Amino acid sequence: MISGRAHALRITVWLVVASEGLLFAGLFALYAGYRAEYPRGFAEGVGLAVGWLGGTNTLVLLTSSFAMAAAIQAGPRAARRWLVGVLGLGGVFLGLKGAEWAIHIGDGLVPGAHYAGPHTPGTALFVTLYYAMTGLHALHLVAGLAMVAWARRREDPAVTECVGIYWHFVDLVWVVLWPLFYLLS
Amino acid sequence: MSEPTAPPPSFWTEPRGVRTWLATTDHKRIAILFFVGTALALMLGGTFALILRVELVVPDHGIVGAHAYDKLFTHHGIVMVWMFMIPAIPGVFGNFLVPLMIGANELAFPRLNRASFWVYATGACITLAALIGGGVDTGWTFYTPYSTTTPTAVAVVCVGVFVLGISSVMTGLNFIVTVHTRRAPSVPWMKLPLFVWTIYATSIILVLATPVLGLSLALVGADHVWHLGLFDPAAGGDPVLFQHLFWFYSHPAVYIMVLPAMGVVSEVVSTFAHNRPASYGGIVVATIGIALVGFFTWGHHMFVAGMSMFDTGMFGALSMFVAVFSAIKMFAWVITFYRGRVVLAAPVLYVFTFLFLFLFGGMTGVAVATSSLDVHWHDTYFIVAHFHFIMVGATLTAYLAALHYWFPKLTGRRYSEVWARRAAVAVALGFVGTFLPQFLLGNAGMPRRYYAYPEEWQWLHVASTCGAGLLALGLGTTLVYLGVALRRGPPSGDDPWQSRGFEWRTPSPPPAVAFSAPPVWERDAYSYEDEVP
Amino acid sequence: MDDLLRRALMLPPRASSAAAGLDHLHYVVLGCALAVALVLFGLLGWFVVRFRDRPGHARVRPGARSRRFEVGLAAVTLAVFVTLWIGGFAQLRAMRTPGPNALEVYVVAKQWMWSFVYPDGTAAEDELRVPVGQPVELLLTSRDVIHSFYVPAFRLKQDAVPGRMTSLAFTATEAGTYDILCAEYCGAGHSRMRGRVIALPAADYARWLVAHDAPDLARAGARLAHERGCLRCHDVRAVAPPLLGIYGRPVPLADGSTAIADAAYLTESLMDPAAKVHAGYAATMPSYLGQLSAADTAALVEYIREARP
Ligand code: HEM
Ligand SMILES: [Cu+2]
Ligand SMILES: [Cu+2]
Repeated sequence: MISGRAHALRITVWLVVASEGLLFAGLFALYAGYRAEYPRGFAEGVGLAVGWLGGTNTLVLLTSSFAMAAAIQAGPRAARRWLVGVLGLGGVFLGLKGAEWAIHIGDGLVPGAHYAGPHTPGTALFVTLYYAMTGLHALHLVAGLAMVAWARRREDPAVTECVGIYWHFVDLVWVVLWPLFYLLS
Repeated sequence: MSEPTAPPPSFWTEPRGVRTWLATTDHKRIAILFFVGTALALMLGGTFALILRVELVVPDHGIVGAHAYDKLFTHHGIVMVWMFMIPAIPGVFGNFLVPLMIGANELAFPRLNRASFWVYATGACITLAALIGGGVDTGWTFYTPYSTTTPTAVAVVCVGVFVLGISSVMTGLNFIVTVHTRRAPSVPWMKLPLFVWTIYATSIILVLATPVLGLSLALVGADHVWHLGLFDPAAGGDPVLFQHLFWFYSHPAVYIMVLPAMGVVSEVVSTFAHNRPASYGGIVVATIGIALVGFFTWGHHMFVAGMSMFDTGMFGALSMFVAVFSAIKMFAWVITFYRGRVVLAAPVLYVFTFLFLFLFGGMTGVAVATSSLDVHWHDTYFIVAHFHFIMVGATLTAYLAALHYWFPKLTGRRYSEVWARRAAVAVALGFVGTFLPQFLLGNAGMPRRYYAYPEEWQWLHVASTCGAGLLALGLGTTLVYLGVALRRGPPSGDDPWQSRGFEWRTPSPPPAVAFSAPPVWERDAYSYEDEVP
Repeated sequence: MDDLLRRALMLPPRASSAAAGLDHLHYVVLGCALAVALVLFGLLGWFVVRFRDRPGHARVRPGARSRRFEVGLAAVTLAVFVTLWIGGFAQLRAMRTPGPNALEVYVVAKQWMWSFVYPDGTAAEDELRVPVGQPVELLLTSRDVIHSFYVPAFRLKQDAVPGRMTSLAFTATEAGTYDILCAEYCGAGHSRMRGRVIALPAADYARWLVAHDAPDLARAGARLAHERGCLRCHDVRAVAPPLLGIYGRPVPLADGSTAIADAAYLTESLMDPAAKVHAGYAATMPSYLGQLSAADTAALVEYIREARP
């Protein structure tokens, strides 16, 4: 018999995942709509991506998910160490992401009135969506890092498990974002 | 004159002090805070509405200018939808009653509940600040590209409504977890009071639909500030995509407003008919059905926006399914009176008004889902009347029914039944008087959001404004006699209506901690069988 | 009877082929609503009176629930609603299908007026003339925000969406003058964005066609653009860049450079479209070299220049 609190936490985290899932779904719908309308502009947009940074980040996040899984499997003591790993990898991801944004901004790929990228119809929309979607994802990652830090302090297996579910979700969103913004040209 | 006796200790007085109220995590006190918030919102939104109605008494050049008029109807919609109707029943009665109805002392996350009220208050303040310091003129629907290009305070309002949305998600999440984990052992799922079922279904919508609203408003706000052009054709964007996002939230949102109202009606009908609801199972299925199918009907708001025939057909057909679920409830409520012991009192008068508004609101919904007819009615006063009947009328009358039905539960006092009946009649006549002429105006072809209109429609507008005056009078009266009853009403006893509902099995008003141990309820919340010889 | 109902419901006079069918379906739906209301509220009233609490009221045990009855009731309701839906959908299909040889008129909405461009290049503001009895197809778009073209007497409306082309088909049946209203909120002038449809008997319409002013250069260009089918591609964004408002603007080219859409550029685009291709569009435009006289070319360029928002 699971404790009432663990049960409550588990329902909560799945509800949060569902809610956030719909938040991203709205953006995915926009992406799909505009990609269907401007296939060339979007393909050109993908061509602007810094492929190796995106790929590295995918590896980083996948590794962090493994560390998370290990933390859930491990006993409370070992979990603390694995969670440090998760925190570190999350930090690396954000650092790389920041570098990537800096490169793009340097190239004049800024959304809105000061956009100075290619004028193929749709590319400016692609760039806007790139910032919106990777930015929203990064915000979720920051929230995830806060939760991981909290789980590490709590040393409660139920908390660790729930934070893990959220972390895997954030990871999963990236695994969808990655092809959309780096691969499908 | 007898001295008023000191009321027994209850959640009102323990613990004492304003500070304890502001920092409270007690679901009953949070309910009262939400009552204050939503009642203020209702008054503010009502004031905007009265100005609009007075303006429309003359065909042109009334008391305000065209631009002020545009802001007023926008403010009216925003305040009424996000500050009154969405939080009204879940925030007040859901908070107060759900724990009492499932035998719990608390929601699953009391501090999250407190946060949800203060986030609501913050969102309301941001929104109001934007409305006062400039205002917005987009309509509550924020259609692009008008909303991204108008030089009004769109971005700040988007932030405010976004914050209000966060409060919604918190409330919804808390209710779902509470119903899953806090039910007393004697309250299994299929013994849940119907009101709890509707709050549960509403919460699902709150959690799943609100993020999409948040997203669309965030994008509109960002677009307004940074000219992203996401929905602006000049930059390659598509304004109709915004409508899809907006209605993906806002159609389910109409059920956020009306489902809890339906829950109230189920409770009131059963209590005043002294009868088990006809078809508990049918009502539960219809409740969940509405919540789920309601996610797939949003396109019926866009029949003339250039949608394909296929989409038009699908969205029309799915809307009909939702209508069937609503009809099932309607039948069940009426049949519940059969072979009952019917007591007429103010709450049930409000429920009669609800049934009238709901039936004609629902059937006009069917009428506009009959897609060809919508071509004439879309964006006319007919639509305004449709959704005021079904969404506003139903929510408002159910809110008033709930307020009168549970007033003794909340306060332990009785109000003047005579005045309550007078007010109920005034509200009924006032509401129908306001919106019946608007159906006709819609038939005649008067588009909504019109500041000026051809003279031949003036008499209908005058009639509508008279109705609004009567409605305001009824609501004002309610405020007065309920205020009096709050201070000086005679004690009501724990269960003045002889209801079998779980919530009436605690003292009225309940003490700060309602249950010292999980209650053991042998008979369910609708067990009126013992009245039958 | 029909007319009495129409007036009682405040419906405007009917002036299009769609109106009568719509009104009749309207009566059917209203009839259903009233019938249901009568039955339900009749029952409710009866129950409330018959079973009200009073001295000596003896309670009777309610009959057992019958699932067959409940499911049956729901099924009948669904059947009624679905029947209405089928009726409405079939009607909508018919309404949306333009009749044979429809007269095409371009409608451009902007804050806060309607402009109409006829196939022969005639342009008019806020006044649409159509022949009675001839099918008409309006092709609508907007220059700024969303508007909605609404003629209550026709029972028809259609949003005019910027960046998109939508269409509205109708056949006027009664000669007369009818209001055009804007039904989608579009700002402070929304309620004054009114125009008129003037439905003329065919003979009068023909006379008007010849009598109105001789087309000037831009009008001739508009007519040419229509005849040559320019607008078939150029107003549907996905195929070719829209012409309205392009004049004088920088145009991104496929090779990454930018050109200004001036008279020279436009003429070159007409004669040698492959020389400078608008970025993001396939080079599908045919060359009109040798097919357009100098006067025609000038008229087209003038038309594009005038069409600036
Ligand atoms: C009985 C089932 C219902 C059906 C079939 C139905 C159908 C429709 C349709 C087709 C429209 C779009 C009409 C147009 O914009 O031209 C509409 C508008 C609307 N309906 Fe309903 N409806 C139903 C019930 C409800 C309920 C229960 C509510 C609220 C509690 C509601 C609230 C609204 C609102 C708010 C709008 C218009 C909003 C706006 O444009 O500002 N409807 N309805
Ligand atoms: Cu809807
Ligand atoms: Cu308008």
